[in-house]
Amino acid sequence: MKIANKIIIGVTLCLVVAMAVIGFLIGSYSVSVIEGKVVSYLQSSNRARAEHIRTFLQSQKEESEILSSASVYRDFLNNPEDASIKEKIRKRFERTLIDDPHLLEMYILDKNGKVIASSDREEEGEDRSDDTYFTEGNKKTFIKDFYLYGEYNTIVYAVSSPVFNDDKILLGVSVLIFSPDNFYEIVKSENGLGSTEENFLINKDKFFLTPSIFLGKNVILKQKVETENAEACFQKDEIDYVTKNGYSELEHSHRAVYDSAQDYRGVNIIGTHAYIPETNWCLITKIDKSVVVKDITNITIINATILSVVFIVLMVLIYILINRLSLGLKKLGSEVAAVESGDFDVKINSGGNDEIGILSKAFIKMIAAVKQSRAEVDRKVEEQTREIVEKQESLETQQKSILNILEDIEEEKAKTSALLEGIGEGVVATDVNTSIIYMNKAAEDLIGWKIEEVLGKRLYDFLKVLDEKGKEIPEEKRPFSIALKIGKPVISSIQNSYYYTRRNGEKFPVSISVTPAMLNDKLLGAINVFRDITHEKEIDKAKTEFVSLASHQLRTPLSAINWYTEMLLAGDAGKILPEQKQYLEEVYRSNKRMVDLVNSLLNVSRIDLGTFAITPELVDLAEVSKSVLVELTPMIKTKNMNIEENYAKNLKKINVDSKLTRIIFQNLLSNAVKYTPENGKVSVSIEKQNENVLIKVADTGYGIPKKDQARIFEKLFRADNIREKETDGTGLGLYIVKSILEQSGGKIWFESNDDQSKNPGTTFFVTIPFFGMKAKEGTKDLG
Amino acid sequence: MVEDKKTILVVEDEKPLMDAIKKKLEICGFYVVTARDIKQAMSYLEDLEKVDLVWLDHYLLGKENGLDLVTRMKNKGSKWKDIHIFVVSNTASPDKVNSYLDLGVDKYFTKADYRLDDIIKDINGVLKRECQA
Repeated sequence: MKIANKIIIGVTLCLVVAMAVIGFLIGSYSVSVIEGKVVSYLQSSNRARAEHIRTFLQSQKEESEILSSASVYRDFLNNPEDASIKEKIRKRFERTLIDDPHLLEMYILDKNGKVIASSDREEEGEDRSDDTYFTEGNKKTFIKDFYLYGEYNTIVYAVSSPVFNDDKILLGVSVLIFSPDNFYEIVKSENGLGSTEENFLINKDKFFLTPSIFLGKNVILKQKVETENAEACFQKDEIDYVTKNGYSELEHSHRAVYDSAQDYRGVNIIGTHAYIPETNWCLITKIDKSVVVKDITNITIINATILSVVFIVLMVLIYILINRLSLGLKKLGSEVAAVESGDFDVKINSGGNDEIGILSKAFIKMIAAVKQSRAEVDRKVEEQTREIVEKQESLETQQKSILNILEDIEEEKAKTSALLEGIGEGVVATDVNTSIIYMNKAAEDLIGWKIEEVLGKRLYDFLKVLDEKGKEIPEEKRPFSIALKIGKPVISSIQNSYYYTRRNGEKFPVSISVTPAMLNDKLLGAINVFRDITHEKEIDKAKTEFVSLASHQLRTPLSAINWYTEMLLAGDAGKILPEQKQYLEEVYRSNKRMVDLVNSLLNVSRIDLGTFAITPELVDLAEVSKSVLVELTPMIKTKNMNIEENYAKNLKKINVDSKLTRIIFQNLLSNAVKYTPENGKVSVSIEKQNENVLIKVADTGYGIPKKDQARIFEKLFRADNIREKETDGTGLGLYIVKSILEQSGGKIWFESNDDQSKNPGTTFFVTIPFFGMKAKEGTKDLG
Repeated sequence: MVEDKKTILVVEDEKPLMDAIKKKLEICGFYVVTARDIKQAMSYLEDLEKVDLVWLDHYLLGKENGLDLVTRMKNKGSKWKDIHIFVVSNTASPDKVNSYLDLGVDKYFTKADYRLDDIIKDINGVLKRECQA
């Protein structure tokens, strides 16, 4: 919006508001002035008339008193029969009646109320002792209220005064009968406020005493005036007040003005009143409200017209003024627009010394500065545009190749996805918090949950992991937790497998392989590949039970072979030939191997069934090692081996199972001797290391090939290189040793080199906690 | 020298093993009686004037096993309390071994792991004698 318009609208609004306020003030002031004027006129008019009436009444009373005190009246009353005096009285009547045209009749009553003289001779002799003008007038001057008199029902009023002698003894009463025309004259309106202005008198019974300008003379003594003014006029306190104080206090509440009251016609009026104490009358003065309202309306119209004219004139003046002012701004505006469109050479010459002039000068300076920087910017923009164009071209090329790559990736992704889905084993991938990020179809089928249901949920919130005994594995010991913690794969074995629970609560054994997923040395999560191994477990269990039973049953015939061969060799059945002896020795040795094998198998089956016991007692490990070496002496001698023993001197006896410890030494030492060529060296050492006892068995033997190292502790596994060299061996020894150590709190590991060209050989390390093996209840001993 | 001969009661249910044991012990100069169940073994103990050692297998014919015999022999007030007992068995569960040792047998051997010579050597040691071949 233009500034000019804004100013015009603003000023217009201000003016409208100002005019409205002024109009309202003038209006309300005019109304109050008019009303005030009306009220004050009514009040003063009413007061003046009321005073007039009272004065007039007073003058009539005085007139009556003067007449009654005339000596001729006394003389007449003292001598009523005196004709000359009566003649004087008649003359006096005539004179007085002529003087006052409103005086209609005059009487003189004697002290008994009998008319003894009258201007109307017919009345003489009548008894008026009941009339109020006698009963009241024989005490003091009395004005008898308007009443109907004579055969024509003329409206009249009477003034009577007592006539006393010098001793103040009542002689009679003088009575004057007046026509009420005088009062009609007094209350007649001057029409100062128009034709509806009206004054009238009412008596104490509220009957009209003077004519109504609307209803005429007929209302007199016939119609009552029951208005608010009439009511208020005869209130006792109003009567008391006016009787005492007159009308001196105009504003006094007793002379209240009734605005919008109703008069005897039921028309809204503004009215006031005045009580006349002398006669118990009330003078009411009023004007129709509509007349005043009309006046106010007229004044309001005049006011509004004047204000409108003033408003229009002011608007025109303001418009002209603003247009003149905005001319300068407009010019400056168009000059600025020219600069904006790039014309820096436009001449700025708007305004003089006013604010617009100052603005123009500032603008001229600014244009100069802008002109300079614009040139600089133009140069830079040109340079940058060139660069951008170059970059864009190279980006377009890149984009094309990225799109190609993306296409390839999409295809690759689809392939990978299909491959993962197609894997027969369950695949579950989680992030580092074990929340599910992927699960393939096989996994869904195995555990009974759909990927949509568990995506983003924590794996172990819906998947229970149990151990071999059906006990729930604490979360920190579950494969995912371990793999994520140590950053290395966790692989279960059939003997030490985990159990998962399906959605329906069913347990099933699983073979799992949880591998941490790394990307640029950052741990992303872990991937579990697992399968149901229920069938394998069943087979394994059947196998273990079979071996255990078979071992037992095999031992008896083996014992028989053992002992009979022993007896034959001993010559218990007669002398044998050297060749027979050689054969029998072979039988004996083979049988011995058979016994060993059966024993080992029995041990393995016990380990697998978890039925072997660990019974710790104080054992000297060095003694065990030595005795095992003694057992191996024949072989050591045969192979001409060098045995080196190093037992730390500060070692005390420790709490271990003696049989199990013996099995450990037997296996490690016999392996070392067995798998080291003739003239080789075997060294055994026992030392304390931190909280453990470390047993080291090193040989200079064949070594374990790299490819076989991971499987060396597996049951019945024998490395390829030694299978060819030594047929003697069960593949159970290291499995048993590892199982014993795992279940008793120890550890075993090895270092090996099978490269015969440089320091070949194997070193096995075993640690057993210094505080000993953990006790374990079991049903079978290993032996 | 008959009166010098030590008497050994061999309780073994497997006939071939029993024969081998008997033969070997006799070669060494023992007087050997054999029983294949507890009842038979008890009657030998009752009838024989003196038994120096009992060679006992665990599983035997009949309902009773080696432990029942040892329990009776080592009973309070038993006259066989001081007779040496060697248990030679292939059933080597630890609770059984412990039960025998607790009752007071001299030794426990797993058959298949020991030569007869070795066991007899230990018997000679206990009885303080040597083979009189």
